[in-house]
Amino acid sequence: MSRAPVSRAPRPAPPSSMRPSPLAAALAAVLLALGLYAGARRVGPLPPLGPLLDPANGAWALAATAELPREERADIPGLGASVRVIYDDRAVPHIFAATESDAWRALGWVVARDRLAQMEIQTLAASGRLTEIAGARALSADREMRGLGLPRAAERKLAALDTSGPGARAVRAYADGVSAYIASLRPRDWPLELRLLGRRPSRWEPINSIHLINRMGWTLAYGDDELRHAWAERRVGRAAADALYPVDSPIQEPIQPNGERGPRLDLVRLPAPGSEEARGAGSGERETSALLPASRSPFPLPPDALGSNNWAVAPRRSASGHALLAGDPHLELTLPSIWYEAHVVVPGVLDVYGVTIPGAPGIIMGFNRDVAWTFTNTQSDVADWYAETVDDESHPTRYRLDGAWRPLELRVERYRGPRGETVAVDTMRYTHRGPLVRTDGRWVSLRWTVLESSGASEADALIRMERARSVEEYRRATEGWAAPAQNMLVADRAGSIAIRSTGRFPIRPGDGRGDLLRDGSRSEEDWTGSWPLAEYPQAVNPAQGFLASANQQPVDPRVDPRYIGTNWVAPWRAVRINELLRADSAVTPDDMRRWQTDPLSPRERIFRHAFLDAARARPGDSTLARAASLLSQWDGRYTKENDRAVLFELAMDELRRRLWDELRGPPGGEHVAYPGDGVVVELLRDSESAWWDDRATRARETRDDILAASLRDALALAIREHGPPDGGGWRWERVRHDNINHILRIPALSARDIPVQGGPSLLNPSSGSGVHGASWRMVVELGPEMRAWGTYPGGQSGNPASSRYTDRLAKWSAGTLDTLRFPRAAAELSTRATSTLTLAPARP
Amino acid sequence: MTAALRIALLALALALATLVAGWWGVPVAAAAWGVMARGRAAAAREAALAAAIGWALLLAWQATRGPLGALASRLAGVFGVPTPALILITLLWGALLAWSAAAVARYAASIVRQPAPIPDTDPRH
Repeated sequence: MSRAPVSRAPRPAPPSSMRPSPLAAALAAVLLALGLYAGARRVGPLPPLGPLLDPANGAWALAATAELPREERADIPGLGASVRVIYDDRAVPHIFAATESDAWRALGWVVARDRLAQMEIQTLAASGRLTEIAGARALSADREMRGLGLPRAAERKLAALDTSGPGARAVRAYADGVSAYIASLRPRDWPLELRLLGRRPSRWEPINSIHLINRMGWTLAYGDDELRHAWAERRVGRAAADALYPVDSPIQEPIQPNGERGPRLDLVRLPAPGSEEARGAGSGERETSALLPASRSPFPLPPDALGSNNWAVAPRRSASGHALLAGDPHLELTLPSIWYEAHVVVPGVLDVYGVTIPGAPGIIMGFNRDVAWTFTNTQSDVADWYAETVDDESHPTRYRLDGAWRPLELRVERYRGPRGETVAVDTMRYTHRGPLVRTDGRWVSLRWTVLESSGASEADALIRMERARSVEEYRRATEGWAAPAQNMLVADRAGSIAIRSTGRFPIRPGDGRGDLLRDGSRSEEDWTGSWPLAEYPQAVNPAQGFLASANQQPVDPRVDPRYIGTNWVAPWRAVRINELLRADSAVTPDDMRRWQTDPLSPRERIFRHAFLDAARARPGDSTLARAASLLSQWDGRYTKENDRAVLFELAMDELRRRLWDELRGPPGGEHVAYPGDGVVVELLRDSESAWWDDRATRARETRDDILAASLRDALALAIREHGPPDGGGWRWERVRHDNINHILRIPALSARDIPVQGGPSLLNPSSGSGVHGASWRMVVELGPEMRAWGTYPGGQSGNPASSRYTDRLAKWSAGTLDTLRFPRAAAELSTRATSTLTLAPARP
Repeated sequence: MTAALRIALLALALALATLVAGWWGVPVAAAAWGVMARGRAAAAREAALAAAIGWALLLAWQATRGPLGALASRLAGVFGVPTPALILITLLWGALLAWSAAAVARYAASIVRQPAPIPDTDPRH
C-alpha cells in the first residue's frame, strides 16, 4: 500500500525569537571583516595573521620541516643526472654530482632549503631594497647602498662576466637550483621570517649572488679615511692628523716576514695639537681640508677589537711533520650564520669542503684533497674620495674636469614599499670615477675597486681555487681577484705554505697617499694603474717556517714604503700569534685550536704596566692604591671566570676618553675619531706631551696624571656598574659576552649573552657590543689524508624550531671544534648519514 | 544527531577545510554551516567551538610531525607572549572567524524564507 504524499508546503518562517538579532549579525559582520583583514593584511606592527596562525599552512607548519627527513626526493629542471646529497651527523650536505653544473644546482637547492629567508633578506639589503619589506624606515639604509653605487656595480659586473667562464656558469646553475627549490614551495613551507614580513619567496636571479659578494666588499673594503683625516686636520692640524692616523703602523709585525725576530716599535713623537708643527706645511694640492667643512665628524674608527686571523705552519715546525693551517674570520655574528658548510664532489673534477655564503656558489674558505686556504681582510685603502666642482649645487648635471665641463651619468633610483608603492625617488649621479654624493654642503665622488669590474672575476677565482692541487696552482687561480682584497693563506700536502695580499691596489699620483681628499677637477689626481701581481705583499715558504696574518700592515715600510693603506689596526693579534708560533717548533692541531681563543694580549702587558707605574708614583692616593692592587692581582688572562679584566678595560676606555679630548666635537653631537692604541703606545714614551693635558682643567696634566686618573675612575665605575670586586659581578663572563642577533634583530630568535674567552685585541676579539666575533673557525692538517676541524656559532638550519638552528653554539663558546667529515665517496658516510636527498632531473 | 557528534563532525570539516584551503577555509566552511543550520540558534556557537577543536587537532597533528613545542616557544617569544597564550590566540582566532562567518551567513539566510536543511530539533526552542 502506498503512502499518501507528504505535504511539501514551505515551512513557515521561524518565529522571530529564533531569528538572529540584526545587532548581533552586524557585530558578527564587523568581527568577520576585522578577522579577515587581520588574516590577510598587516595591521600596525602585526604581520598578516593567516600565514602565521593557520595551524595547517601557517608558521605552525614549520615544525614539520624543522628536521631533515630520512629520505627525500626532488626534481630540478636542468640537471643532467641525479645528484645524491647525504647529510652527515653535523647536518653538512655532502653533494655527489656528475658535473659541476649539477653540483652548483644542487648546492643552490640545499642551501635554499635551509637558508632561504636569509638569502632573500640579505639580497634585499645588498641591493638597496629593504624598503620593500620595511617601508620608509629602511630608506636610509637603502640610500646608503645605492648612493655608493653597489646595485649599479652589480649590474655591470654581471654583464661583464665571461659567460663561458666557470664563475658565470656556477652563478647561473646555482640560481637555477635556488629557483627550483622556491618553485617547489607550498605556502606551508615558507620560512618564518618571510611570514613575519608578509612576503612571498621571490624568484632568485643570478645577479643576487653578485649583490651578496658586493656587500661583502662593502663590509670589508669600504673606507672614508679621507673624510676622517680632513675632520681631524681641521681640529689639530695636518701634521698631528698624519701622526694620529699614520700611514705606517707604529708597531711593526708585518704579514710578509721581514727577517726580524719580533715586533719592532717605530715610535715617533707626536706633534702637539694645534702647534705650528702640528699644522704642518701644506702644499697647494694638499690644502684639501678647506674643501670639507668641519661640521661633520667621521665614523668612529673600527676598534682594535675586530679583525680576522689566519696562520700556517710548515712541516718542519709541526709535531706531525705535516703542514698545518688555521683560520678564523671575524665578522658580525648573525643567526642564521653568515656561513653554511658544504662538501661538493664531482668525480675527477672537484672535491672541496668548506664554508659558503648562502646565496653565492663556491667554497669561500676550506680545503680539497691537496690544499687548504683561508682569508683575512687586507684592510687596504681601495676607496678614494674626490672633491668635485659641479654646475649646479642643487641639481648638478655636469662636473668640472681639466677646465671643461663633463656630463654626469644620471640614474633614477626608485624605492618601493611592501605593496609596491613608491616610497622615494632619487637621482644618483656618477662621474667617470664613481658615485657622486653630497656631504656637508659639498659634492664628492668615490672611486672604489669594489665597484669596478675586471675581466677575471672573483667568481671565476673562487671556482678555480677549489680545484688547485698545490700552493702554486692556488696562487695562479687567485691572480685575478680584485676586491675585496684578502690576505689569502694557503698550504698544500707537499708542505708548502704561502700568503699573498691579493686584490687590486691602486697606484696614485704624487706621494701615492689615498687618505687625503683629492681635487676632482684635475684628471692628474686619478689613479694611474694598479700594483703588478709580483709586487703584492706575499711570502712563499719563508725561512721562519710559519706565516700569520691578523689584518696588520702587510709589508714592513722599510722593505716597501709604498702606500697600500693607512691607520692599520694595532697589530696586537699579529704580535701574539707570531709570539706563539716562534715559541713552538712542534705545533699540533690542538695547539692551533687553542690559540684561536688564546687568553693573553701584548696590549694588556704594555698598558697594565703603565697604569701600575703611574699608581706607584702616587703613594698617597688610597683609592688609586686599591685600584692598583686589584689590577696587580690579575694574571692578564681574559678567561671567562677572571674578575679583573673589567677594571683594566674600563681604565683603557677612560684613558682614551681623557687622552683624545681634542678630537671630540661639541657635547651631544659628534662621533669621536679615536686613534688606535699603537699611537697611544707612542705617547707613553712622551710623558710631557701636550696630548696628555686635559683641556677641561686648568692644570697641565702629564702622562702619569692621566693614567692614574683613568685607573682611579675605572675602579669607581667598575664598582658602580658591577658591584664590589669580589662579589661576582666582575666576572668576565658576566661583563663581556657575544651577542648573536637574528638577521631581523628579533630577540626571541637571537642568541645573546654568550660567555666567551676573549676580549679587545685578543686572538678571539670581542667588541663592546659583542656582535662581532669568530664567524668560522677551522684547523687543517695536510697529511697523507686531510684532517680538519671546524665550527661556527649557530647551526646549518635557518628554521628556529630546528635542532640545527643553534646546535653549534655551545662548542663554539667553549672554543672546541668538530671533526669535519671528508669522505671520498657517499658510502663512507653510511654510518653517519642522517638524511639522504636525491635530486633528479625534472621531466619536461 | 547529538550535539557532541555534530560538533565533532563540524570540527573535522573545518580542519579539512583548513588543510585544503588554508585559514580561509574556516570562514567559508563556517558560512556554509551557518546557512545549513540557519534554523539553529546555536549554529554560530557550534561553529566557533568546532573551529577551536579542529584547529587544536591540526596542532596536535603538527606535533607528531616535528618539534611543535620548540616552535611554539620561539613564536611566542617573537610576539612577546607566553607560549600557552599563543596557542590560545591561535584557537581563538579560528573560533572568531568561524563564529562570525556562521552568524553572518545564518542571518543572511534567515532573511530568505527557505526551509532549513538542518532543522532545530532542540526542544528548548
